[in-house]
Amino acid sequence: MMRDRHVTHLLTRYVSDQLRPAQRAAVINHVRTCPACRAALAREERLAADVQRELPYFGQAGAGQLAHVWAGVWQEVGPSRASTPRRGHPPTWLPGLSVVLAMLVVVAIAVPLLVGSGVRAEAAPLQPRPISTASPTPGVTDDPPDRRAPLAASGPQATIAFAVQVGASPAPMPEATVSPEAGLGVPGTN
Amino acid sequence: MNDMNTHSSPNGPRAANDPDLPETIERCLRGEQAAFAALYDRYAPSLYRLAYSVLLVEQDAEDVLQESMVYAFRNLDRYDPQRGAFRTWLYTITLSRCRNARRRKWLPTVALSSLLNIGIEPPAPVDDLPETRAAWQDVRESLAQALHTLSPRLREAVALRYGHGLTYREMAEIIGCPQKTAESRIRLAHEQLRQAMSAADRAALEELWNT
Repeated sequence: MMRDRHVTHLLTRYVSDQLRPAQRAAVINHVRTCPACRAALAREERLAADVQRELPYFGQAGAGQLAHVWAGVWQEVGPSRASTPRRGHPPTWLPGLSVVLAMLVVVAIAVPLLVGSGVRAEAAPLQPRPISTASPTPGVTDDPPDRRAPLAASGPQATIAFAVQVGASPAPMPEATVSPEAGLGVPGTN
Repeated sequence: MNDMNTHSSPNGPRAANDPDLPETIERCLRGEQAAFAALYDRYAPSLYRLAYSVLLVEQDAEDVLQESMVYAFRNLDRYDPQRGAFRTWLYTITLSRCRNARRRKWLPTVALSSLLNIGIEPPAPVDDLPETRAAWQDVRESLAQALHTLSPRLREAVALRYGHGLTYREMAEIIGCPQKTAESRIRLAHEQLRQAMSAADRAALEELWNT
């Protein structure tokens, strides 16, 4: 075909400097006598020249841009800043972590105190009260002593209530009317 | 076509021709801030242009520039002059970061107006007529838009070849491909640019060259 004698298929590689010397010579020789290929080569060369002229200026950074990036680079690379976090600021999670740790410390201290005071309130034996000289009024109850009752209360009820608590009865218990097991429903007891 | 090896970058001398580079690197390894700043001033503009040419987003290009310079400064002791030019080493790092950035996000379509706001300083036109300047501006815009239609790999190739004047061998070393592959990408990019530029723009370009 007539087209096969043309060199248009080589022109892009010609302007891109990708042809072997023999191929380059063939293109040069052909375009001397072929107006169509000569015009096509001229267009390719102008396009390549236009790209070559414009690309070095494509994407030039402004002075402010480069200075801004340099500041970030030196913060990361500078010897005196080698161990600091990025951008020289403390980590954003540090305040939150401090609050959490403080709350844990408070909980760790407060909970045992609260729990301990409650246990001691139940386990601590009531101080023995002087036995009232009045006749004891028998009255067995399995109700626990009223913690809210003033400790100064005296009388037979206080004595009896004290005696109900297991293992906490330095005062002599009325033998006939009160038994530690009375309030526990133990068979054989009153 | 001009010899690409003599193409001068508008952003500073080439590292291969810099006789002070070994001493500057040595000063950096001793921790001198001025030495780091000198290297940054010398190579950051080129690295930013490369990153922007590939990513087409200013913020991404800035991020890549920072990542690349930080990595390079922290690994200066690992640079071996026997294995290649310092510039080649930096370009390889930058291109790698560009590919990582592309994988992290989907590049949005950049409006032509954004391309026009990147502060390009065009070369002084030979013909100072207003209509000539306007015509060149149209062609420049068309070319910028055409570059945007290229795939990232082709943009990499075009940026390295035309934007930084590298040889095919240097391109292959930086991109990490055979030299023939680098040549093919330039050829493909050239064909796509030709197709992407409208017929009107090509005619305008013809007219400008013929005046």
